[in-house]
Amino acid sequence: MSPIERIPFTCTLDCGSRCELVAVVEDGRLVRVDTPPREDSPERPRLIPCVRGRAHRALVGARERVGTPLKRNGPRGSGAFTPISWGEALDEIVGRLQNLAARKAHSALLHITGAGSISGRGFSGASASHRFFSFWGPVTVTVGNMSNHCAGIAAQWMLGGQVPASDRATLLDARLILLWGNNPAETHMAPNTAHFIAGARDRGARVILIDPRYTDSAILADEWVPIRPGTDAALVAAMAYVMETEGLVDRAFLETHTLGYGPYREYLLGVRDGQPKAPQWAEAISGVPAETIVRLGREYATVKPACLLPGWGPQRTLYGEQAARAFITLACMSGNVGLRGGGVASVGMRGGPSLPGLPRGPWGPARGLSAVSWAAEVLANRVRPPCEMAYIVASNVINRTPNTLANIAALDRIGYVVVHDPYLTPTALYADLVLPIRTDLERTDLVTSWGHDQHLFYSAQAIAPPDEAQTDYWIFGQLAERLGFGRAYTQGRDEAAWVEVLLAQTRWDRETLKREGLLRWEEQPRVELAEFRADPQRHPLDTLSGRIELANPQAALYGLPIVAEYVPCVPPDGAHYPLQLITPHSEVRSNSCLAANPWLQEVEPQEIWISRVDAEARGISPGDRVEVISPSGTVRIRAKVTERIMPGVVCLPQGAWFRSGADGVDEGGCANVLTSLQTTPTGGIATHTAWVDVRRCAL
Amino acid sequence: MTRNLYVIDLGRCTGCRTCAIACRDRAHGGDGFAWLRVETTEAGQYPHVRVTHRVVHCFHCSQAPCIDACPAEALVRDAWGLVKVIGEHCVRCGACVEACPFGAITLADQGPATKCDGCADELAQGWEPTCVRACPMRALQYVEEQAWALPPRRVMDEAFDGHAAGPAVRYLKRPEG
Repeated sequence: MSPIERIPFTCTLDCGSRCELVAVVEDGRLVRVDTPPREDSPERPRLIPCVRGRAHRALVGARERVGTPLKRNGPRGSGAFTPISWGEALDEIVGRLQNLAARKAHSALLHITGAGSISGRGFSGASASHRFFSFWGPVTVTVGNMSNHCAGIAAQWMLGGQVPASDRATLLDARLILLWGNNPAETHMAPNTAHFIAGARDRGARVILIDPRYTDSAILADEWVPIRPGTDAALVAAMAYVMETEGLVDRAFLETHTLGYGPYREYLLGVRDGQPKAPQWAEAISGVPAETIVRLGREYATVKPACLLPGWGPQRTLYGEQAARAFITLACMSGNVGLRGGGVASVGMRGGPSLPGLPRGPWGPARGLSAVSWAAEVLANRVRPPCEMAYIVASNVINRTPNTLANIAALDRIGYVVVHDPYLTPTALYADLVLPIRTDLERTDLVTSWGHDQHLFYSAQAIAPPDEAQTDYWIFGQLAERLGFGRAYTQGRDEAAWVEVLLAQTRWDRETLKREGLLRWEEQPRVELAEFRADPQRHPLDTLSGRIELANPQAALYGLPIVAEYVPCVPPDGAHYPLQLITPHSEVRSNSCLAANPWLQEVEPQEIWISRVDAEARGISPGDRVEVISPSGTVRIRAKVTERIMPGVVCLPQGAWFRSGADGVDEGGCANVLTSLQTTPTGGIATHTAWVDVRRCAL
Repeated sequence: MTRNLYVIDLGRCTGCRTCAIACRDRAHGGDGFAWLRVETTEAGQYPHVRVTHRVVHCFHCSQAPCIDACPAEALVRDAWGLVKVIGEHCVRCGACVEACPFGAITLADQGPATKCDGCADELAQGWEPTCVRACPMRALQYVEEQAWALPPRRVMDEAFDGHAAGPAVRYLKRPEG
């Protein structure tokens, strides 16, 4: 009988959590994925993997897995590739890189990463590739934050920088939780968030979900308040109006801890525009009934502690800055800032423990293109000198950034495309060269946790990769060797040797870490801004005044109001595109990763959510094939006709893979076919501001 | 002999199906059938919607109708009190599938009748069953029947409670908003 090994590992996806996984291996074969049986308590909660992590086994051998280097031998996107050897593939890349270097044209290489494997100390994904190019030369990169750009701007202006939210265990002390555009049961943004919300509810807290959709997080809520996408700042203003006019504002906190409430108060009362921001005003905008708004305002102002917990959806709208600023403003008015079980309603995340990384080379990037709208810059010929080569690592970029068809055109314009990926993603299908990468189960790495969690994970190689798949680190080591800086890049070490070197520089106990798979850094859950609340003079914020600044003159530079006013998003062509589209994260994917997992496809088939009212008006029955049309493109997909979405709003979860039908229409349900390259005033992603129509397919 | 109950909190189950995937992974490599399923029901009209996800599997009933129905003595109770299928005895008649009140037994195109084995191998190691350990929401518990009491402020869901077959399950109703 062969011994069965239980080998700890963790995912390195761009999901928001890190969890405890175990690979059960027999004869070198993965027979099962499990999670360790540990004690579970509020103080030391287990890090239980979600469905995405548990379904790993079906992913390892997925149909779309790449086993050897592939060279394109047909039109882009056709899927026609010839398998080639590693030697041929590496020589081809080296030839391209040497050609650029000889012309001092390093910046003609556009290096794209993001949304794939994002952790690691320099072995996998972006960490390996950025390090490589730091030795090679000054390339062009994509810059900016696709996740929470506008929340970051709000935090910068109002709080003086990213202030991480309180650790999730402190949610147990909340008596009221407003989940605002936040869906932790499906996104798992920060481990155990939904678990602790349920725990608070068990202790008698009330939970309210404010969202255009009755998500699975609504199970944890006492009340669902549907809201039109992009109108959050209007609802906040009306709640604030109720608080202001009924004397429910925490004036003492505003006076000692904030600056700039005056202009916001004038906005609420309509001093300048003659329009009081009363509940009736917000009802017309947001679709939330005035009496509900009155109740929400009173409840949030009077129940203590109350935690306004926004998600990232509201700030991924055309004026997302205003939503993010409004949440912080409202939290200040309620006086919940710095309270255990309360919060400042910022979406900052606390990172994991710090660990040394691998040494980097001398070069920084030559220039940066917007991670959101890089394709627009390429297609408008605004990139000078132009990019001639795209080097894409752990990033299904055509799928994950807005306007997929524009992204495809931009890659075509660039001309030569290399992709590192374990799977033949839609982006890989448009590449000239695809290099097969190992999954998390097939390599060794040190992974730090995130999402307010403080663990270090040792993710051991559990199984051999299929065919010739390699790590990003190995590939770049080989390229570096051929380009003459191999020694600098690898120092003669493989991943396992580097892990020893890195751990030797820390106080972590290596043996325990390797045996258990994880170690914990901190014991006590942290309450954000508690010190600032207790003594703002001794613990000032990093703003000019040291206080929370509710009025931000710098906003005017971007054409935004100086306070958190609601700015309407006007549909470009309401007659043709009457429905608002939201494209939230799905519980079965991490961005577009895992879309190839057949088990997960069964758990949640890709469908467009449409309300019964809107479906009936269009003659659409449940399960009908429909076309979703926007100014950017068309998607053909099945309809989920449901009571769980606000009429006037449709929802296509992002991350399903683009698949071009014979007529060029996407049949994979790729949400970004429908989104636009338009950005927020400060350059943020605005994918939740999209207008579409839906019609029944003829066939 | 005291038995253990599956206590399933409908106020915590968000329908993520991590338990179903974990069970599928452990039990049968992902093929064709499910020992554990999650039934999702949507009720009401916008905006007064109510969604319930309900985990269903073999509840190892105290008066198991499947054991009585089987003509081949292929269904037996083991030392843990779990109802177990002895594959070699099964004659594929389908009587157990018919008899199970919870639709928890499957007869696939080939092989014996199959159903949740209660993770006897994991219980033997002192672990909780796979589905229970897998739940990120802690919506599933496995507790001694005699030691279990309804938590404060919670109400038992009517489904299956008091069923003549004596299923080892208690569903906690989702708290009313």
